[in-house]
Amino acid sequence: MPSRRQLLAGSGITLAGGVASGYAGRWPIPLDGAAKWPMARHDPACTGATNEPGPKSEPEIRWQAEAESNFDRAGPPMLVGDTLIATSDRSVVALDRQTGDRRYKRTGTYRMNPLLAQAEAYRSDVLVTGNQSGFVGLAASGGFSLGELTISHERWQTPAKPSGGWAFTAAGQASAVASDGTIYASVPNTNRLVAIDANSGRVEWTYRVGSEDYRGVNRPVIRDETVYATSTVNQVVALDAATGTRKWQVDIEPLQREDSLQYTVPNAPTVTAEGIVVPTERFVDLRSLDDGSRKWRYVHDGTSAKRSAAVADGTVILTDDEESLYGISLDSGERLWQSEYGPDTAPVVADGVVYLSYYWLPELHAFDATTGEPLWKIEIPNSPTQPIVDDGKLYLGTWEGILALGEQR
Amino acid sequence: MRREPGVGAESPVDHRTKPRHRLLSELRSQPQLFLPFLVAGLVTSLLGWLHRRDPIATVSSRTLADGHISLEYIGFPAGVRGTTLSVESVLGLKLPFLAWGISAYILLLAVHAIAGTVVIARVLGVEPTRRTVGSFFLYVACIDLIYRGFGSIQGFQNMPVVIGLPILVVWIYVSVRLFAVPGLIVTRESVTEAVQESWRLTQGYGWPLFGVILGLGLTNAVFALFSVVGPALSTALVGSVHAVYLGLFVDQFASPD
Repeated sequence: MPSRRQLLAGSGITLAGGVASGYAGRWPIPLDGAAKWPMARHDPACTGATNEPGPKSEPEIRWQAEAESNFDRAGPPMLVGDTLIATSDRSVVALDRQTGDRRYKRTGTYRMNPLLAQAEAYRSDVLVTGNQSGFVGLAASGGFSLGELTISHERWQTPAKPSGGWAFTAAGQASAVASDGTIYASVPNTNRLVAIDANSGRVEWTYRVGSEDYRGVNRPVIRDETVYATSTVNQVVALDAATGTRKWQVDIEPLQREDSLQYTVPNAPTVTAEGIVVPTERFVDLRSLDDGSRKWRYVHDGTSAKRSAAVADGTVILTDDEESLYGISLDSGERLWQSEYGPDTAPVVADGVVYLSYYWLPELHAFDATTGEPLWKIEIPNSPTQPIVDDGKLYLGTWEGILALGEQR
Repeated sequence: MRREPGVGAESPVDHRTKPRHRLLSELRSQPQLFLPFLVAGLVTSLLGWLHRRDPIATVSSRTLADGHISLEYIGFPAGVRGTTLSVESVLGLKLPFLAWGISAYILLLAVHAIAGTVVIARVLGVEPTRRTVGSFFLYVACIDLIYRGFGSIQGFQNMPVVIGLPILVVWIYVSVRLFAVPGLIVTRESVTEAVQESWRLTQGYGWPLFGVILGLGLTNAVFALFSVVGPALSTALVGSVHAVYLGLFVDQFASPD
């Protein structure tokens, strides 16, 4: 019969062994290197732009991975170091960006564009996504796997429960951004904006836009410790990022039109040093960071209902859901160029090239960001997500797994 | 060494009476029995307060207010904790946060082990020893780690009802059969002997003990509604009642050493 001392030692091993294996050794999936594309729209300002080059000429598919899974619903993959992380309808996978080889796969149903946030108390960042119950923080390293059992993968779950049905966010729409260890998110189907600590998952503050009857706050943006957001009640609000207290709030002025439909419902914004870019169904505004007043308005007469703009090199680039892609001067609001492109989607800009994919079309388009000139168009598998770009490559999720594209060799 | 049970009581205790009938008179005659778990409760509340401010991810108990009914029973005298460190969140921590998390966890278990040993020993009329406290701590740590371990394995979280229900039944059965272990540790000093003795003693008392577990667990669930004072109050009251009941149960049914 073991003595108490022996049992005590055994118990100590149970506690310390698990901790030590996680701490003293390396995680099974090391995530070295900087987060290069940590959230759907690239950065907390949601510019959708990077200085890293993508494919300039018509690309080829370099690899296609996890082809048996659908990666079309939960947004584009994230890129940290040499690892791509993406959520499918039933799993989270991490892939080697060079080869597409799987680094880990964890099962779970997640319904929100994932994003990576710094978690300084932990040895790996947190991958934030969402499910029926609220926002979920996962170890970006994947935790430990013992056959089918996984431990230390899910770190926290917030009680920020969405209202309504099963779908957490629609395909391709992000609801959160992260900055300095805090996640700022709109809770889907509610009028709530929340700030969540990336380490602990605690809700730091909640701000309600409009009344409970109005459900629809778009994904916020962050700049200089201020959170900016738009809502379906035609408002733009600025909040102190630390406390959630309101700095200002403005109503979006309607178009001076005779018809009753004013088309002022805003989409998710982008923030720049010059102001907040607020796209709506029929026009795009630039609004002052100081008080929300309007600096300029460009009316495109489209019907864009869901998509945000990209901003790169002083140009606002957006689609109108009719037939055009626009380049608009960030400084003056004047149109710089207009190019033929029908779908309503969020552009991505990388080193002077605009990339566009649309959920309902198996195509990827590229345009020159300076002139709007079409560069190339290729066919890809069905239901593509928005692409992400880094180091000459372009990555995106589809109905048939994850794709990496590069210039033809 | 064993003293007469019920020391300090104004009137002699009838040992033929069932433990649940002796419970109130024991607590009434020795109100100081609440003191150890009151201290444990205050420590639990303080640690919960600190965990709500540190960067370590904690799991907040879902409560009746969330429409969630939970049997807050863990196998040793304790109240509801309000916030719980999960194995998930601890394994990936950097060293300073890891040290704080483990220290706080050990402190929490230690105060429960000391409080449990002191109260049960007082009811049984025996002197608590360091060896007894050590064995009690060992048992508390094992049970707590198993509980957290199951809670941390993702496969168990997403289990379908047809598989989860039999596992729940097994968990309740094992909880009933191990019910007396904390009390027996105080008299036996050996965890393995206490487990064997509890398995033997609880035979034939399944339903009454299930009722006790249900009562303790649901009372804790009600206290969980109060996030700040709930842990302190439930530990002081439910923890004390649980420990005294364990002492009376062992006093009633266990054979002398």
